[in-house]
Amino acid sequence: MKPLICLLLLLFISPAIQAWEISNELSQESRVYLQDGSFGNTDSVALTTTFQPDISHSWDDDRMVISILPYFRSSSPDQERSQVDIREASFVGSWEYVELRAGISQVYWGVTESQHLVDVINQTDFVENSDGESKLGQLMIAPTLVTDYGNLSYFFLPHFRERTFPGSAGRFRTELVVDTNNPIYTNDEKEAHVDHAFRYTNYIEGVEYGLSYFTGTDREPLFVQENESLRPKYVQMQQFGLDAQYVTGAWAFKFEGINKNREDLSSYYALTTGVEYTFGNVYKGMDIGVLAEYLYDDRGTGSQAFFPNHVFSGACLAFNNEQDTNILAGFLYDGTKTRFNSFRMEASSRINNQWKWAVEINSIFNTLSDQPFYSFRNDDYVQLTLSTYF
Amino acid sequence: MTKTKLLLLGMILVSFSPLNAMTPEAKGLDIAQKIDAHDQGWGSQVANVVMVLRNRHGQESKRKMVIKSLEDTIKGDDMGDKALTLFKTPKDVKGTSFLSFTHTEGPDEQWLYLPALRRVKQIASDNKSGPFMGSEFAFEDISTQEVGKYTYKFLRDEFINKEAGFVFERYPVDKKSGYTKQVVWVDAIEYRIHKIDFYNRRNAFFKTLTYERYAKYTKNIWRPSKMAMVNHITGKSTELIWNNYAFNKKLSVRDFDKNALKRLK
Repeated sequence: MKPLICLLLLLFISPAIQAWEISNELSQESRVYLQDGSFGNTDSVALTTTFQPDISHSWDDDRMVISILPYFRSSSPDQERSQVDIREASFVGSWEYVELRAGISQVYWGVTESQHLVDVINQTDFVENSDGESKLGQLMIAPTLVTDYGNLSYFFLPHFRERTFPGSAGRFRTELVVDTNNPIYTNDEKEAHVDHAFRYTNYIEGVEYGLSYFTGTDREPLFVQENESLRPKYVQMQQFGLDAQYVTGAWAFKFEGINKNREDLSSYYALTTGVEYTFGNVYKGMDIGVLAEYLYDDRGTGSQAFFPNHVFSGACLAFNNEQDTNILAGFLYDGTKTRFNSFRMEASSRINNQWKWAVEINSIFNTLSDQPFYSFRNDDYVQLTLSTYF
Repeated sequence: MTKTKLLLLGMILVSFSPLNAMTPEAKGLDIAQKIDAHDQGWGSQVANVVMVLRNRHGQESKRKMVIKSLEDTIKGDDMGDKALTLFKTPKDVKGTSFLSFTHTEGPDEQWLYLPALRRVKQIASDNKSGPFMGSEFAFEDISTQEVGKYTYKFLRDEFINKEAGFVFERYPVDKKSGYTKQVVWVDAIEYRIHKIDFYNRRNAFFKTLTYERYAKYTKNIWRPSKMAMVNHITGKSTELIWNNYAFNKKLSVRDFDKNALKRLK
């Protein structure tokens, strides 16, 4: 934190302050759980306050950009949800054929909506949201070669970050609490192990595709039971990824596939593929998008795989109004057990230039004890978030 | 008959016959080509834009953005101008950016970057009639007006702000357009568009766009300081107020790619 505080101080006393842009988001999230948790975690209300300043400076016609995004979260009753993080403290520079990203940053790879198989660089901030969309900052040096024949990036990742997990009072926990203070690393260098990744992307005639390779510490841990807790075990892995998207007219066709090879475990394949169709400007400028995705994992049912044979179907409504109102809803259907497994809805809208509300509903049902999300069966919630920007 | 042939025919008619002997269609096309020819050589452009949205009761809300544009200098291919819009306010959408590649024929390509997800999403290209950021401007209104995107018909000569001018109609070629017809007022001195009336798919008088306070910038390039769109059906309106136009910034295609979207703040 020290360098960050110094940097912040420097910013405020700097005469060049005008050249910096600062914008802050303060959010209050109130989450109500509809059932008692399965493991004595019976608190039905969780309150979380987050503060996210966004400090940036760009020059040379926006070819050089510095971004600093500290992140403060205070939550009760689960103290494991309270966190101070640096989501971003990076420099990005662009020259004719080269782009360089250096510092703590976040990168996203992939095209599908229901899960993000190819996306491996940043660790998931699981306690923030069980949907896996929140990520922790990752230290990296990432040069990209920009050519007419596509972009080739290399990622030097010198510091690994552990996944966050809820504590005993939290929800979306397993029967035994994950002991995040005692992780196991199979590599002697532990979190200092240097990971490497390569990614090539290209865009030809409406087809966008990416090939990726990662070698290093798996972001997704295994678990070892020890006494009354689960110790996360981080192993070395290699992953090959392919993602592609073709957009034509109102259609978008999407594919993501990976082959993951973890030490001492047999390798596996997983994929997500689907279509999205947008009904544009159906009524007063509103767009309705419908999508269906198939999720497959060759480890099959009863394994660590969350979605061995599932179908996701969803819809999004973009009102395209002054308040930027959006509604998303999706169902997950288990093709093996022939039953629906979860429902999720998100809605948000601006109140005015300073305020915004967001509602989230998440429900998991019809689970069986051999499914990884069986432990979350009593963690259905309704959440309201009020955010202010200044 | 293909559009290219129609274009050729138009050019032949222009070169061999006096203006007044032309068909209204050829004369309309001729004016559109002159508008295009007068708006060449600007290279690249950066401007700060304030978007003012007003509802029927006059309540206002404002958005600030930076719009960068890159002129298409390679003629004869399908590629047109490129534009990148970066949102600065409201602060909940700060860092959201929108990239569009205009094509002289066929649908444009569009991408949206969502900073919270660090994700660039390509937008379905059919959706051109929808509103741009909740405003009265549709996506097709803010994209570059390539000559090949319409067919034309000259209506009449008319004085505009005490200057000689023309009124013509243009009809979108793309069936996904939200309009059947646009009536365009252009002056005959610098070929600047002053007003456009839009007619929707039901052929009802829908919107009016006026271009106000033109100023001359580099190399005879004229730009309005204000573009006001009024929706006659809802009573809502949107103004785009253009400030700090900067030309010749030496921007390149590298400033208009997906890497740029992810980088901008």
